[in-house]
Amino acid sequence: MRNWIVLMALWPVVGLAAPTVESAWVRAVPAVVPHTAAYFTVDNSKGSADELLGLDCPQVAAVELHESRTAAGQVRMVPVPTLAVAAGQRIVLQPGGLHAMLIDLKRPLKAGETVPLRLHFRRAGIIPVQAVVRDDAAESASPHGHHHH
Amino acid sequence: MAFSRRTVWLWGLSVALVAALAVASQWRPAPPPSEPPLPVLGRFGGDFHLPATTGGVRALSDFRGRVVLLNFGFTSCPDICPTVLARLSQVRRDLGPDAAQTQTLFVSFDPERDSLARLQAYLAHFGPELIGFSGTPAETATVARQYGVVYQKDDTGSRAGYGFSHSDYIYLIDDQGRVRKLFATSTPVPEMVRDVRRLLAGPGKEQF
Repeated sequence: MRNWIVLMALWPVVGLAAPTVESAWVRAVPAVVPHTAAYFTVDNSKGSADELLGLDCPQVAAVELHESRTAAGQVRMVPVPTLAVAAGQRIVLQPGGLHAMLIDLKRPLKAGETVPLRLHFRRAGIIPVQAVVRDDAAESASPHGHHHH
Repeated sequence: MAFSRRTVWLWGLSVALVAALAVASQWRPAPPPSEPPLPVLGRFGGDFHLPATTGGVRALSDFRGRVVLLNFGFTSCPDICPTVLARLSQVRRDLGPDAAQTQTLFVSFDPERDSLARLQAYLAHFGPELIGFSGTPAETATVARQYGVVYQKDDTGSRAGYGFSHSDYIYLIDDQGRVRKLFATSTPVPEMVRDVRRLLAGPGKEQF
């Protein structure tokens, strides 16, 4: 009985400690290109320090975290082995910066469909998210990657 | 016969009113300060000939009379290149009917993987009017040098294979084939639209 009370008292704390993953989307690319990029926001404003170790997705052979970095007019892609997420931090993965590269798509993705992604965190474990496939070339520009209908 | 003080005062007021109206009718808002024309960036650019997705070899000079937006990249690029091409699609949409006086060109610096067929299928996704070029490595290097484009094969050990570290400018080229401005990846779309319009409005006025 006493254990139950302790567990119930702690439950909200445990529940709040995990980061949340929002606004996940995947870029629709022409069928000739076997790779694309996924973007999302990790909101850890209520969570404790964690680390994104990697992702998996049943529709691709592999997912890698990368960052496009621009220095002196040169852009290059830098592998990001793991992504530290500090307590209170909000990390936005967006075009031209941090992104998850989806490698070797098993079939072309159509705008509007959803792709299941699973994010593996060191502390929080697996956080699943449904990423919407968007054709950003056909949409009107939106500074924060919001979905247009 | 003496005028009353009141009559004199009324006369004076009428004259002042008429004068004020006359001045007001001549008043026009000051013309906006004319923007200086975009400079010609002589260090960059020039004509080139490369195998094109439209078939055969095309030259930049084939597009004289149009304002050209030229970009370099590769189709296996998952983040920057599609982002730039999506922004160029947005520029065309914002230009509306004026887009017909422009041409977007894309030169691949990855001829090893970017066959013309692949490049054609890739670019069609971003707009049917886009024209791509993919030449031999030597031809590509020559054009890149003309435009000050730096690209370097970069093997980061990714499962996706090699990538490139590369310069990421969009070249704004006038209707006579001269480079007039370089846009960075982060240049806002409205700025690009405004500069394209400046060149479209300019042919008669911009003398050098």
